[in-house]
Amino acid sequence: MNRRLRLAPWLFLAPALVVAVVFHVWPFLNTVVLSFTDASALGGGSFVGGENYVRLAQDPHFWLATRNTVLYVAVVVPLLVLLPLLLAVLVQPQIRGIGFFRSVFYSPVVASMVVVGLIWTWMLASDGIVNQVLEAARIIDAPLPFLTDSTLLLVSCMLVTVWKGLGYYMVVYLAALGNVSSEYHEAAQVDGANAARRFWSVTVPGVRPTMFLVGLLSAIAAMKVFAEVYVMSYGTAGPGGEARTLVYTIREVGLGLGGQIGYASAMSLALFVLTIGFSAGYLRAQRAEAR
Amino acid sequence: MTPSRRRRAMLPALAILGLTLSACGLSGAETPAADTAESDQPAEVTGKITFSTLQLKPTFTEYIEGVIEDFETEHPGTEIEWIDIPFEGAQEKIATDAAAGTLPDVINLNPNFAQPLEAEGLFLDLDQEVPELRDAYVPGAWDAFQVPEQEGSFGFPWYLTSEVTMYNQAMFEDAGLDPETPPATFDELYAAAEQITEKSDGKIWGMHPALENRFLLDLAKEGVPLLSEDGTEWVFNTPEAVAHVERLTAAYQDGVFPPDSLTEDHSKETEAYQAGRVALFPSGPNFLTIVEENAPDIAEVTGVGAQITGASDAANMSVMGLLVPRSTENKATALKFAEFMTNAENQLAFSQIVTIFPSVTEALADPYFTDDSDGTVESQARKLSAEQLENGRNLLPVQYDDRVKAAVIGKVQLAMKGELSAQEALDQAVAEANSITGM
Amino acid sequence: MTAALASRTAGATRPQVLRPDRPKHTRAGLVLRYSLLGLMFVLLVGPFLWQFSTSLKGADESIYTASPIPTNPTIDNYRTVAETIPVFRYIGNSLVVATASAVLNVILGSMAGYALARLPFRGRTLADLTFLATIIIPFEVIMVSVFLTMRSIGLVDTLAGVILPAAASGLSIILMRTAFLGLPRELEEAAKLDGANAWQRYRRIAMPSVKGTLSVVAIFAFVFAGDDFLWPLVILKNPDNYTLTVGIQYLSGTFSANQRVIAAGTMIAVIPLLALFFSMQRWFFRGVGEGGIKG
Repeated sequence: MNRRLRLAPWLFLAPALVVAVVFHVWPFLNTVVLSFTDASALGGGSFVGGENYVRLAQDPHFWLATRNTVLYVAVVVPLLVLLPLLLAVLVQPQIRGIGFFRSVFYSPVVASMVVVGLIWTWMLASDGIVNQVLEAARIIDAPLPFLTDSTLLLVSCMLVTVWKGLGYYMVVYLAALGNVSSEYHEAAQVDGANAARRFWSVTVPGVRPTMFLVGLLSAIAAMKVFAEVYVMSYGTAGPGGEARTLVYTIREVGLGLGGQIGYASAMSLALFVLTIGFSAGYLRAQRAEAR
Repeated sequence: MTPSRRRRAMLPALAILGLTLSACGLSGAETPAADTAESDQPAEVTGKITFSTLQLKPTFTEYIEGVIEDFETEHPGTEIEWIDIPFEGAQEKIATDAAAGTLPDVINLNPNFAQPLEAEGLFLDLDQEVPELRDAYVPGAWDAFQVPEQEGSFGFPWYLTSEVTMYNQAMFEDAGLDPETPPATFDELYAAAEQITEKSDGKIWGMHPALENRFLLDLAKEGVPLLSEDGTEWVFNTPEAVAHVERLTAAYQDGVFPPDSLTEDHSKETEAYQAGRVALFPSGPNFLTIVEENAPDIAEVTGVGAQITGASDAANMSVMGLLVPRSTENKATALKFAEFMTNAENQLAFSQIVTIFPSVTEALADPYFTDDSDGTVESQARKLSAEQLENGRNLLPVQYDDRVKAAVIGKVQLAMKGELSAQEALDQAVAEANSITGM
Repeated sequence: MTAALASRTAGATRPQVLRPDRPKHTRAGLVLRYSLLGLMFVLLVGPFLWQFSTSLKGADESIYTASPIPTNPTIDNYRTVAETIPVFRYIGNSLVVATASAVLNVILGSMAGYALARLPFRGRTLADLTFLATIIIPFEVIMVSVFLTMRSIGLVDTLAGVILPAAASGLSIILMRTAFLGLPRELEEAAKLDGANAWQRYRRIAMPSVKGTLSVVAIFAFVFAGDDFLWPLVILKNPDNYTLTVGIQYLSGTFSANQRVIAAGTMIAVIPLLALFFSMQRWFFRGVGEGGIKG
């Protein structure tokens, strides 16, 4: 019995572990090794010690990319924790036609990134609908360069990330909202709490663990942001590449058949450490709060 | 326009990162040197080979399959398996195949894709294998598949394209320009563009810079030396180049270019032309067909002129090629098939389906390319392009890969925004390009 | 590592009601809710409508006209797609890949998630870290290495090769573990006293209680696999084996790019996903701990 108890967890874990190790962890260990070599796309690959990391520390592109990536996470994560929850609350009740709304709200998730880029560059263009509305409302005098100013471009990309993530995390929240029994809502309603009060005092505490989960998942996704920057800038990361993110830079360095694999691997590892560090800190903070 | 510039891979090649695995021997990748081509193989043309193309399905399925069938009939016992690779993701796929030693026996690449693979010695040297064929091809095309400072030519030139100047005749007329006289030089081009913008009160943009597609080529056409004479260093920060960047900057600041054009690529330029927002559209003649498909109203008023030339008078020509990896297990059949695919008869048939040009001198002399008496824009464009090919060269250095391009274009963008002077931008671009290329 | 993520809430241990939310809807509240739904509809549905409208435009109509509504709607573009590529074959391949991926993620993900949530063992942090790593590592970074592994086990050019790397995503495991942690322990404790082993408790008690999360895991895995482009392209050789996302690339040929046909192709790829979502969405909020009571 005792032996079986010890074996059982591993039997449950084995299939998933095999997949994770063979197709993710092992290949990644290769990347770690490569980061200490001068490997190029097709040749080379001799050991160079920490040279790539020294170069990394002195590379302004890397630091710019790190700054942009951290900024991205800082802006996008709070929005993606809160807004999809509001959306989930909005589509939660089984009212007429709600299935239709839930499905169309999910449609940005399945839309291809090329199409998303097409639409958003069209909307945010100098003569696009966003600028037209802002000008008509006399908020601005001249069109804002959403796509050709590095800072505004980064903001535009964040907007797209949030827009595309709304439906995705809405689904995660919907599953969790099933937990917050309507008893509490009804009790609160009897107490005379209005909708906003009920949201903060009943819904939010009820889905708190899920909010942490969404925070972590969206942070990891934001650390890896690439597609948004790529499609919104037509592959340039803005004028002078100043809106670059880490994964954008990793791809650029490792890009093409002449890519510098060793250096790109070192940069990947830096991203990995940054993400793991963030996740660990995040989870510790959560544990501390849960106590 | 080679397709590579027309459609940019959405997800370029981090994949290639893993390639090193082979270099390090961390995994079981075959080394490029695995040289089965020299060892015991059938010398006669028989057996099965694989053949890959870059995004030719579905439009040319019938044509390619027809040629394959003819070959199989002519050489009984052969079998060609055709794989068409969509352009998006092509780099990753080729890279993984190269790493795993599973490249097809005959592979369709453009010179910039082929370059790093050639430099690794992955392909058969055609100057050694089939030296007698060299003279049959347009010289500029045969030479496009060479590696600087290295012996050998590695590609059978396949189809060619050469830019023409498309323009909106209605907009020319509205601006008081002669709709029958397209600009021929850079001076005329920018003058016409400015006039159109001015006369339309800024409602129409004279042209679109499409930097990623045109910038370096335009420098070459202006006579700016891109590389040092021994080909080891980027040197394009000359006074002529400064003048060119200053002209781009002025045009951008004056609203001759669309405000968002700074980062936009060739596909956005195509879109702007099709939408009737831009008057001039220098691009491959095959884009006439695309304009017709997407915007029939614009196609109706489109005229066509020769490729814009600058101080150097040179015209650019884009080349596609067929290469045979050294790892092939059926060298004889692979070489024979590549030759067959690119011979005069088959290339002529190909160029009659679409506005491309054969790389074989004999086919290029066909009346099909010299007769525009039917008066259509297509045959006019065809004639203009074919004439250009005689003096055409691939002006784009093979070292101009995506990374160098990103560095150079980035600096030019900053200059056009006014954040750098033209001289500063070019100096920084040259420095970054040299550090990337390792020169 | 992620244990605290799923720290239990007071609500989860309380008896559940039949319908999770059945508030009394006032007329004004309903009007407000529909107005907000309408607003979100406008904000979120743009690309979808754009694509749909373009896919219905005829050859004589410019796709750059200001009006989003086609003047002469036609299904010719869809017909062209079907004539150009073996669309049903590709849909079949995609269906195999996406379904297998959904099933595998549900089974492997729930098993691993259950072990992490309920079964005590040493090495938990290592297991946690391993699964978290599968989310963190960008797949493009390791793709070639995975390709070489596939080659050595003979799965190149097979649908199995497409499916396996995403067969047990870290996301599925974390979602499942969160769901299991939210279940009341009492039922399982009772079953344990009755002599039920871990497998029986997982299969008979835990699984039926997390149907909502299972459906979320299934739809995420299905959509991800159905949407993936780069990996299938790299691992598949024979065009007969292509999935739909790869196959529709053939719609934009080198020398022609009919945007209407491409739009029709993307609609063909997206509509089945949305239809599946539509049919499954009512399961989503039968969330944690709820499904076991009554369907």
